[in-house]
Amino acid sequence: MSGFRTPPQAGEVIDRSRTVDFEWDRQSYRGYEGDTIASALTAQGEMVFSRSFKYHRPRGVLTATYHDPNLMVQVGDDPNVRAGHRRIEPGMVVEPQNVWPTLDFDVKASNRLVGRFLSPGFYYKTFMSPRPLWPAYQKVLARFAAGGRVGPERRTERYDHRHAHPDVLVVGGGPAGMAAAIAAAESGASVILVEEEPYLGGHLRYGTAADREVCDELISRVRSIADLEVMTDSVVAGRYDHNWVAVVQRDVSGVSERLVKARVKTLVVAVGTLERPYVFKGNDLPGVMLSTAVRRLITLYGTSPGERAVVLTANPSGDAAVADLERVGVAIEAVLDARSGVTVLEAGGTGAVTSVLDSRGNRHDADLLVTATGWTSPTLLLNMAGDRPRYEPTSARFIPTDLPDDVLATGGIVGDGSVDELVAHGTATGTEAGRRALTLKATWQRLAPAGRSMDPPPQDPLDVPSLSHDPHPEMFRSSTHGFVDYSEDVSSKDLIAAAKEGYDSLELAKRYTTAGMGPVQGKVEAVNALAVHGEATGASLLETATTTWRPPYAPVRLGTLAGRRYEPVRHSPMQPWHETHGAKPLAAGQWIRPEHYGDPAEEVRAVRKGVGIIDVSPIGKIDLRGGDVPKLLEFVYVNKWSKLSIGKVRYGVMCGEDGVILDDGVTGRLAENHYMMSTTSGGAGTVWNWLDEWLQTSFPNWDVRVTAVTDGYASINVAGPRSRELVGRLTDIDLSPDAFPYMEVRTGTVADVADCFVWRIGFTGELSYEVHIPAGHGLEVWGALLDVGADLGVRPFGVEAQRILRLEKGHLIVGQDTDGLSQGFGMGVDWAIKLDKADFAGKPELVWQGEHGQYPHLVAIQTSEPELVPPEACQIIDPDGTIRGRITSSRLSPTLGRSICLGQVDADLDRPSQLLTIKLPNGTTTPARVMEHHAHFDPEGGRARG
Amino acid sequence: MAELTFHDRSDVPKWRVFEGYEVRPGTSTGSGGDLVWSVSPGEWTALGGQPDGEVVDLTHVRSMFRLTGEQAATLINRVCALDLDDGMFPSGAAARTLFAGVVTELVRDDVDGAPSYLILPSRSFGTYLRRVIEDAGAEFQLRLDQVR
Repeated sequence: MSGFRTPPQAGEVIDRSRTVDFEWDRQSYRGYEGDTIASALTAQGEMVFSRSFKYHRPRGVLTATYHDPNLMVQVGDDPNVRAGHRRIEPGMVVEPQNVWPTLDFDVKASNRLVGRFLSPGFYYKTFMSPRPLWPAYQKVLARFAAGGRVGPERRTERYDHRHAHPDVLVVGGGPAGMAAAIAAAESGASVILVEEEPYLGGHLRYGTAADREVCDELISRVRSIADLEVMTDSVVAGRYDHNWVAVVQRDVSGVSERLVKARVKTLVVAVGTLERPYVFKGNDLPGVMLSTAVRRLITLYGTSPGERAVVLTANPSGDAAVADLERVGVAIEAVLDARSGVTVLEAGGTGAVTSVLDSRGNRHDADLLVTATGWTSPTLLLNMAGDRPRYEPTSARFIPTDLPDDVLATGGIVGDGSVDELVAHGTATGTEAGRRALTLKATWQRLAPAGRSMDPPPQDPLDVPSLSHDPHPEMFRSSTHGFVDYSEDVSSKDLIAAAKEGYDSLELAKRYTTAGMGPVQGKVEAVNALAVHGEATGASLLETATTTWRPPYAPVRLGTLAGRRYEPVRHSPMQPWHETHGAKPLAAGQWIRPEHYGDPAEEVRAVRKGVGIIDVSPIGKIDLRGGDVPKLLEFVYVNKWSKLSIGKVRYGVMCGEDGVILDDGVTGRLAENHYMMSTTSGGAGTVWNWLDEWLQTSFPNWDVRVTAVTDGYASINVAGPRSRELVGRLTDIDLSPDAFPYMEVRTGTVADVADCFVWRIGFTGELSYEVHIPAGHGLEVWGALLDVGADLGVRPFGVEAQRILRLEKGHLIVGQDTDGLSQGFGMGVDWAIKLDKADFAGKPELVWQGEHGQYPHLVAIQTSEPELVPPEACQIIDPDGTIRGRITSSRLSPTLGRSICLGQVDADLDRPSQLLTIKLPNGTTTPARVMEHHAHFDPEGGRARG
Repeated sequence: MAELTFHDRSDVPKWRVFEGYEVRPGTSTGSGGDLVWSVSPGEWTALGGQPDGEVVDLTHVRSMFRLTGEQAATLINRVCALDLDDGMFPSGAAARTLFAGVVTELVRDDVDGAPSYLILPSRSFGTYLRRVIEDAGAEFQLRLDQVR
């Protein structure tokens, strides 16, 4: 218990007048509003926040930021929450994760005792054989896996997306980033400024009083500009081609996380630097932390992490930490100035730091060891833009080299300087970013069809001053060994061992040791890993270079990627009626259709005996106009179309260029140059594209206009022996058999609605009229049919009854009875294929198929046991088990009182009364026979033609 | 800030026309009830009275929603990736685009200086898109009282 709350600090972001009670590890704690979980717990003396991944070593604050590898906790149902970033809230329940049974006493910490056996590749080497035992190994190993837990309950947070097109997007709200955003906005650009912390300011926040004055002034300027949108507590997860930038925004009320998909004209990277840990014996003990962590805790949160400190400093940040510690009354046991050659050999203690041994042989009692040994440039976004940063030994860090025109960098990632110099650099960079963005904008607006013309900004690039690089000693590892990757428990010894085993390429060593593969993804450990690996292989950092950084920069929730659940669904105009009349919804592609209204068998009987109506609005309808429509029909259908007179409709089959059946339907001629094509419900879009593709690529000069009008008509099929009577009561069209024969089309008024067209066709095999009504009137006509037909016993029927009715008639459904290999011949439409036509889509393949033979045939099948309905997809087999076909459709026919099927069988089995053996899902077989006609019912078709 | 309003204008007559206009793809002419726009070569959509010559009646094929207000573009950008910047997509611009996963035509036709967009999905997606707009618009206190 060594941390404590300091007296109020000038720059603190906590509100001491508002206390917040929360729970940690089943105990009550109190912090202040604005505290992070880590700062509130540190203030109350807690030092251990997690157990490490492999050895279950106790771990405490290291960086005190989002990227702290040791501060992953469970908050309620939320795993892997970053305690150095997440603010406490009243009633928040925070628990340690990856501990068993408790944080203080962790059984798996015994791994530490066997640590020397847990060498790199231990799991690969140990558990690879005997292979059959892997499932058993896996169960045990799973208990050792890191990470939190997700409850099984349905989660209710809201995630959403937003598209944005700012001229300039600035990543990082420190002095340079804010200055760049202001300058870009003042040059006339629209700007988004993204900051990872909940407040702007960056390192100025925990700097001097003068720093905070500059910070406040910049913030007030940022806030005063209307076209500058600030996103705090947000992170740029990645930069993709053409400056597609993904921002994860967490500061929107009512939304857990929002993914902002920004198409940015110029990206300004002002992410500053990350402080780097130092590798030495005991460097992962709680109480060993970075200078910026200490400065943040003291200045922002009024929290001291210890009482007696040793500070190892190689730079001004370490010196500032000494000043901060002294200010709040922490005893400074020693300041080890690395610039004069002294360093740390070991942090001693079990469970927490109790002493520090320096390289001069002095041992200091301390509960806090602060290190300030260098900076890592988080160049991820620059790498993603194609940059290969260069290592500069004199400042011991990577610096950007060649950036594309649409990406600029400013601030600490570029170089060092006074606050004024950083602001000046940011301002110049922002102005240049704005100039480049507006140049692009002027071009884009000129090219946009309705874009406004605008004057481009000056052509001459602005000269951005350079930033120098302060000299810094190269400090990565002391003469002792310690941890390099805290997330994955990889030590410097492991990396050296890997190199000795032959993993002399860093890419291989990374994968072998897993250094850099944990949640922090290299931000804390990559440079040290490079240095240690270089030390072992005798290569310098320059030669080994960085590994490739990949997005995301910070973890992104799956919910954020998914966003709102916007799944397009389509409804017919009659949907309100269906919903209020007990229709069971069926998702047919995007369409929501009534499967049935309670009893599909009863619906079938109603259609066969009286009259029924079905909503077939999803049927594809394509309006075709022009003198060359017959040529188009002749080309896309396999049958002949040249002599279709006005008022007639014809059934047609389309094949793709592979000869496979694409779609089927009827097309009617409404007027001299006006046709209406119908397609299957699922094929409407495909056929529309198919027609347009041929017209645009092969027949651009044909006089044909294609308009998809599926949704313009509510479509109702009125089917059954009494359908003529029913429709006749509502229409001015003469329905007498002579005036309106089978396979013809008429236009007229139905239930006082004009501009309807009616075709006398149907899928059910009954006398039927397919009525197409301008969609806005669909609901009223549907209601009228039910009202005036009450005495006829009219009832609605759904998709299921229609499937039974058509199966009784043996009509195939494209995509169910045919598949991706079903070429035209053999599917019962052979009669339609006219190879004597000059040309049509699919002809060459169909010619080949016709000559080649030996294709499956679609046949009607009935089982010997009339009650037995073999499920669809059952195989048809030979006695020796050879597969000879399959059932494609099967139902119990209410009309025939027996089971009926369609199926594909080998050609030699396509003979009436051919005996078949069907294999059932339970492994038994059942006999069946091939029928003479596809139609099980009314094979002559007299009912439909009546 | 002017409030955001939503109106269902599906009843307005809409016509597909194949010749006779100079309007280039991506642009519109006229406003309100006599708007004409194009989003692909050789095809125009006209509102209002039936134009001369060969036409296809699209009145019942398309729903038509009008979204008006300073926040309209922000709302549309919740579910549509199009750059709606005033310079890129001012009043008089038209596009065929994806709107919450549905192909729609989008036409900007400002009303009394307020940004206003016509959203035209295929009619069967109308209910779905209205729900999407309602969901995405909750944040903007979108008024839905005029929605039928």
